[in-house]
Amino acid sequence: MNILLLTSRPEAAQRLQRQFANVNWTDFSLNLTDYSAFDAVLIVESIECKAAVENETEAGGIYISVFKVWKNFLAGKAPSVKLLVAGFFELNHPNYISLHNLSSDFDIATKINQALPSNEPWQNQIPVAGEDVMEKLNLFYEGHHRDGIIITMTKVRQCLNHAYYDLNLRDLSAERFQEAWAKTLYPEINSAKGLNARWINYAPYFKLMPFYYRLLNVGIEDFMRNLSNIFSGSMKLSERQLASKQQAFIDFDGFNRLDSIQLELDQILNRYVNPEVAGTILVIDDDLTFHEQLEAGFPTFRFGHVYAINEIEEALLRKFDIILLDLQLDPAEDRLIGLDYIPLIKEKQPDSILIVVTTHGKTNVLQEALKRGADSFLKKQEFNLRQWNHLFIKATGGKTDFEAEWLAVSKEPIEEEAAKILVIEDEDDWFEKITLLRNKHKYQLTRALTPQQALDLLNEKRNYFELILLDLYFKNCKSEEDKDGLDLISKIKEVIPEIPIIVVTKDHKYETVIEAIEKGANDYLRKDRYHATLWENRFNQYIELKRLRTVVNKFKMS
Amino acid sequence: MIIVWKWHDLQSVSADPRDYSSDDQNDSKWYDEFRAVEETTQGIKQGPAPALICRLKVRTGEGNEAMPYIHYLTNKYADNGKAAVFVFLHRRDGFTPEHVRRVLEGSGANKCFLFGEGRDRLYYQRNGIGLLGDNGKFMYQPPERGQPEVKVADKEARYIFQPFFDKTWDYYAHEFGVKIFELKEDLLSHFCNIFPIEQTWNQSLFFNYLEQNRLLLLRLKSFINDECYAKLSIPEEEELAQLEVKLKKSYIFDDCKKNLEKVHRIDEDYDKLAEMLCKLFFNKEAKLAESAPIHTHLTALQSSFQDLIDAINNGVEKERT
Repeated sequence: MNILLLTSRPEAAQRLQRQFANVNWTDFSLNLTDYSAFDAVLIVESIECKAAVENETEAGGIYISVFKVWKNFLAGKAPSVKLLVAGFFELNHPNYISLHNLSSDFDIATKINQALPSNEPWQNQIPVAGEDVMEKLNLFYEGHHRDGIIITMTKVRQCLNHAYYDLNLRDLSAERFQEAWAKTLYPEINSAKGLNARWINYAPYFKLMPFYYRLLNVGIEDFMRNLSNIFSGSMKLSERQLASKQQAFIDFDGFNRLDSIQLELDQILNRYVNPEVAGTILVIDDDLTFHEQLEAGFPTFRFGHVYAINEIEEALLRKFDIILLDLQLDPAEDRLIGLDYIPLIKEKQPDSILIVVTTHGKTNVLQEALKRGADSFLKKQEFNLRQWNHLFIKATGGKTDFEAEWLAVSKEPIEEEAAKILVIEDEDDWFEKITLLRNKHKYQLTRALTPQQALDLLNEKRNYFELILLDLYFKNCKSEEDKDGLDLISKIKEVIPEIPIIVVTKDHKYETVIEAIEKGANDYLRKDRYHATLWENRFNQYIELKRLRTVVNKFKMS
Repeated sequence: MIIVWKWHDLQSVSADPRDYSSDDQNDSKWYDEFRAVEETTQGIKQGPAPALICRLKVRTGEGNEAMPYIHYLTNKYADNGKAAVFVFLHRRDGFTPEHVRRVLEGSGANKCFLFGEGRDRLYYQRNGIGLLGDNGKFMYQPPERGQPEVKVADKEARYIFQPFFDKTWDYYAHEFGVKIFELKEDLLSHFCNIFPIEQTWNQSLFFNYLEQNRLLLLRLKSFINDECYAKLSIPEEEELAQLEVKLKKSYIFDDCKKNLEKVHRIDEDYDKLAEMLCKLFFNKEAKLAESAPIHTHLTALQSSFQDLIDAINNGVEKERT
């Protein structure tokens, strides 16, 4: 029998190894990538997590509980491997071993057989021993009253982007680098330091996780070390320091590496750290049973609750993906008082999806709700777990790529219907590059060679396309006006305001990008940074968004 | 947070506290405030809840000298119970558990902690928790060898940066529960290695076994603090202090009980557990059910520890609400 052991307690390890001498024990190591050879993973909690500071190996650490994140990992990657948690609670749970009460006739093989699989919900919860690593990792992502990790990384990316753009690395003179240091790199030094500090603070928690190898594979440790080397020092540096920094900058594959790291961190968050939270829903309803019904029915969502109208404003201080609003909020009132709150809710949270939930089926009431700003409505008497869950997941957008079979509520498969993309591109080699992406995803590409062709197509098939990829410069066009893709953006938005546009261009001057976004582009991709996976992710994100809008519009229409 | 320490960047205002009245209109002469702020891309902004750190400038060579000032400040900031106040007293400045009692009984302080020798989490050490450096100032560490810059406060602007403040506050809000939880984990972990566990309890045998882990033995004595059977002697106190410095962590319980009495009012659970531990390991005259197997005693111990930890955590939750 093979068991992987994760513990920071030598006494507990000795005890287990002595009592279960026939077990082949393996200690957890960061390089482990394949878990399928194990019958079980046994975690002795709490784990003492020590800081990753040099010469502080003897320092006492923080006692934390890690099993929840491990459960998510095993559920997705090795569901046949059972997860056992050992510790010092008095607890009768199929997956828990009380170490202070471990009799000599304890049969570990039977325990493993009877343990619940990781990819099923465990009805009776195992208590957390010490601090919960899930909360620690969430803090890493969300920031501690500061910018989230994505924003922090974006700032670093922008800084690198500007620096790379300004400098020709192959023929970089000391003077040019000095100028870039003073104008671009040094002014953004705090963002890079912030990112590095965040990593150093939280790396000890990541190192207790089975997915750490994924971060190693994308070179996170080297990246952070190099980032710290480049973004350090004062505004004025000696020639020697500048030369050393210049070399470090040339050797630093920062931009591409940053993208890979961000992709890994995103996936780790969505798959292992926070897989059960597909989105946040605020329920405004005086009916307690309905609140309970939703909480029990949709464990993949995090709920906020408002039971009385005087609590509404305070609740709206927090951002929610979806807001469910009952119309009859006060039984003492004859009229549907919820209608009055629709404009306030839309004003406070314009990006949230506001769904009216009511037992009133009268068309004129629902029409009035939509007129006042509600995005959709649901009838309580038509409560349907699968349909509503599917709708909520759609409505939260962006987070639809769960590969998790362990989601407690089974959801309908995401539609595999081919996404219709209009590619406005006159260069053949670039169009071919985009067509290559179709191997993985079902994209149905239509090409327009000029802005005018694009407008004609869009006028002809107004509701057909779900995404537009737009080049900014058309060298083969005869008229000067046609050469500029920037103007096309506003023309498209006039015809179809809700369609997402991604600018794909070689011209990535800061001013151009800003102008494109001001005219209505949703995003931009640099041709010299072509990256199949990242590009696909970006496309899919906007396609999902467009589909969400279509779903909501359909509700409105119906 | 009111931190009473030898601040090296402050000029002590007086050797004689009578020079300043505690209702002195110009009271900023003898203390200064650092407001907790968030550093964002848009600049500095106040955090979600007003929070500050107050430093006392009064010379603190003797703990007693500072007491009237501490009382004044705790009452001022507590504002009749509207705000929570934690007071931190530096051991090397003559503060003792007796001063903890006086602060808790005579003022609006919610909690009072003793700290010193760089071993408490009030000192910046790891994982972003902590505020103080080892040079009498707020922590500042320039960037070096891949480690980022650490800047806890801005002295000129009188700002303390929110993540450091929040993490430290959060740690100290739970400190006693955490310390007791860790003692439980380490004690049960040490004894889970005894095998077979069906064997009956034998006090002397298990005391000997406990002695194999010197730090654990000293922590247990500090927790029990029983005059007759289990109290740290002065050499043992020094030994524990040295281990704390080496491990950069506080293990002593000398400020714990007083806070539990004042804040959580759960000292009965504490006493019950301390008595149980004393009987199991130290009090040779105690009547023990020696025929009971080890796992029965360990299970009872686990249960008593958990009761105390739950009571503390509930107390913390109640304070919060």
